[in-house]
Amino acid sequence: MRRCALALAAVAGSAASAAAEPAVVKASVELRVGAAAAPFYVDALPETSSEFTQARSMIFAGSYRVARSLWVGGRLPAAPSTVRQPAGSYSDEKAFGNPEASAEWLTPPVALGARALVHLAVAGAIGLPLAGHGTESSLLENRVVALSSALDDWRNPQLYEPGVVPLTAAARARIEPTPWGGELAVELPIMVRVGEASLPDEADTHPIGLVPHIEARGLVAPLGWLTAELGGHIAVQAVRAVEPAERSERSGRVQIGIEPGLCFRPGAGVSLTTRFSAALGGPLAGTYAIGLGAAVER
Amino acid sequence: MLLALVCSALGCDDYFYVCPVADPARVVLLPAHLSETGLYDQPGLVADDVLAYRPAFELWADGADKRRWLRLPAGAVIDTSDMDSWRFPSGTQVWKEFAENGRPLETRLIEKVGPRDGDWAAVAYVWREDQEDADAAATGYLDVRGTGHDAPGAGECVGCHGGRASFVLGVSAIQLASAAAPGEVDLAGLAARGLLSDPPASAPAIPGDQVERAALGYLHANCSHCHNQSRPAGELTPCMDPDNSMDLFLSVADLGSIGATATYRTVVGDQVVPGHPEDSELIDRAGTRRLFYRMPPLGSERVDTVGIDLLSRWIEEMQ
Repeated sequence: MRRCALALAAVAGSAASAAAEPAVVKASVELRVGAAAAPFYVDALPETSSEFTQARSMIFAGSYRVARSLWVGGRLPAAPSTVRQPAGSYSDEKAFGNPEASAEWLTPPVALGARALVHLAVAGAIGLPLAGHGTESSLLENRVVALSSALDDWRNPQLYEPGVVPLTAAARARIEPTPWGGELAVELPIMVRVGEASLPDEADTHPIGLVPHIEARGLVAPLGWLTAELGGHIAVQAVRAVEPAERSERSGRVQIGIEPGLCFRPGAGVSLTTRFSAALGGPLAGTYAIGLGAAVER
Repeated sequence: MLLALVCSALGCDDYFYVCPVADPARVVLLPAHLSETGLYDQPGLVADDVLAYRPAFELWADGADKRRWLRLPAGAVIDTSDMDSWRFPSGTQVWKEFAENGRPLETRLIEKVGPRDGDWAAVAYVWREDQEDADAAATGYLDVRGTGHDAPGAGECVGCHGGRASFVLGVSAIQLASAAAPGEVDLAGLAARGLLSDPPASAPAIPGDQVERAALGYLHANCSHCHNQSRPAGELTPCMDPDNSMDLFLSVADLGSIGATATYRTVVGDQVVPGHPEDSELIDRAGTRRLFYRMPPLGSERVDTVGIDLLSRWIEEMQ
């Protein structure tokens, strides 16, 4: 959703010469619904999974322009999923992830050739270690946040890792589609462990987790109000916050995914997105999601 | 589609297979290790006051070998005033061991921890590799020792056991009516020990020929804990609570003829098409492991081909 929000900001910026008031507030919500399977951290449960429509995540975001190129904001992730239990029943659980406060600096657009404009943004964020973790007898909250993180192909692990303070640096470049464009984003979340998140002693936690990801996206805007996207992303668990259970068959560190989507702009300052993402093999094999998002800026 | 997705995300769907997790306060009432539950006097030696039993009709558990034991508190008896739904005294313990190739994988314990019908606690103990002891696995345990056998989470037990007020499924008049093997206890044995408040005058006998008896017993053991019309209300039945137009429970009062059984009254002619197993939904659902369609929905990842053959033969021979 931030990518579409950036697009909106860019649109607003490019129209700024004609518009009297540039946007000062942005708000968005993104919902992902799908099926997820992810490694888990205890010997009893080397993986956690959920069936189609039962793995879900929601991210509420808002930001405010405090200076010409500087936005401050935050994100609140929620993880309401239905988790498969060992014998074949399912359990509902809802948990919050780590809320995050961020600052983003948008550079003035840079001309690239005669028609293209390049927008650059760098951001930093810090999270609060509030992600859900439950009692040892169920570990259900731990499992739903793991599923939500999987649903995002580990592109936002800092939002869902319990027991850590996440510090994230990010950079993004976007060539506005005229009609062709593209976007490249790099994110480097560092998760500093401050608690054991109810995991039993056998769980192999690390003081620091580091899961960078890179995302590239091709854009085409055949109409002024419609942008089609095709993205690919790769996340690497360079340093895991928690090791998967030893017997886990999902112990890989690299996750690749694809994400085609559409972004609609039905009116000034409003965008709607729909995306489909799928993990391509890897430790999250079997995970796919439909994403629906809405953003407004005023 | 969109509405379904949004509804799903908001949690407004309510599926029968969604069970709550076990109350942690109840889980901690049970010991952390099997050796502390009272099943054994010494490692491998079952305690003197523990009774082994085997139900006449066994629940399909993907072919696992099973052993079962019961212990009642000293001086306590089972309230058998309702012969279909025995009430067990506080302190009752029932164990079931699952093994493969002679090596135990898990042993489940359900224990009556209070006086009310719903006062049961349950957990699975997963055996260690060295077989020295088994440890409580309240979360459940996937693929115990790589066998594909899954131990249920503590909250999942209620999915099957919660369908009957007795909570215990295998210790009943129907299931213990047959003569027990040496070393095991049956209905007559329980009565002889004075453990039944109202012992029956005779053991209940299932009507019909051999195939009919076997099929009725199979459905009773594998299906009736959910599909029965006398499910308890309240906390015992938070999930696996189907539309009970189907009733596969064998009631002692209905054993006068096969036509009097709930199975014939509620299922034959509907989910069972006499003479046509291929058109019978019962065979279709029991013969698949497809998610959200399979029966039973819990505790099995493999079709019971022997059971399906039995049920098919029963339906084929049905007039």
